Amino acid sequence: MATLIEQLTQLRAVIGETIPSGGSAEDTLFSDNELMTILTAAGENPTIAAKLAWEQKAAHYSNLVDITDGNASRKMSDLLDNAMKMVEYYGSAAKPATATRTRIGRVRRPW
Amino acid sequence: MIPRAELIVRRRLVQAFIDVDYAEVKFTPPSRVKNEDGSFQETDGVTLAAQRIRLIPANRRFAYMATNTEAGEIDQWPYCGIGAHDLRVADGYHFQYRGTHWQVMSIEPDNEERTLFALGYYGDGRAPATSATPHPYIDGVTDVGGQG
Repeated sequence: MATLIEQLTQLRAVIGETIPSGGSAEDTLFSDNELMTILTAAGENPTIAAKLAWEQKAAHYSNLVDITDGNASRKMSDLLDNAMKMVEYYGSAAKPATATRTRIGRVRRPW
Repeated sequence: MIPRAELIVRRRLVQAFIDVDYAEVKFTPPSRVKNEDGSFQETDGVTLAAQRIRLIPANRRFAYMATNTEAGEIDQWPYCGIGAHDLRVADGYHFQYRGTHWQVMSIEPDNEERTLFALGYYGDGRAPATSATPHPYIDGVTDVGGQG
């Protein structure tokens, strides 16, 4: 069983919020307390926690717009698209194995 | 005032831009010491720890690097440097990179997102004044070449 610190570190790694060297949690979008709340809400399931955290990141990114500042531009609307893809990925990974099933259909041939 | 989440994202974008093609440099601040006769001599301060920046060449660095204005000519510097928002740098700091000398000429005051500064490039033939290299005016060296 991973310790709480290990769980937090792992969660930070999969949501791209690793604390930079020489930095602190202040340099990321989530404090440790916020991540612990997410882990608790996810029942300590790392995949569900990752999905919830990505949803929160997507909410942050939804406020950002593309910026053109002189010769420099930042296309920050891409961030929301990318975050939503991660939500989708962890959303499907978090589903139980029985959530999807094989479909069998009848093939109709014209002859 | 930039919202916190946006600021974090912007700083990450800047860091990613720097990390693609970075230079690890050690800035040396200029310092002045007082001589016994009351004059000042320019020398080097304590060199800072290595910091990561990206050097950006100006498009017109091989052309005439000054702009004529009514008040006089304004220098344009051949390179820009970009670093993290908390980069330790100030006007006059200099550094060596790949055997060449560079000096910080001016710094953009807005550094919420990144630190942007203009750089003078001295190549490998001319170092900024240090205690080891006498300055032609401050150190009273009269033979500076071409002066007769």
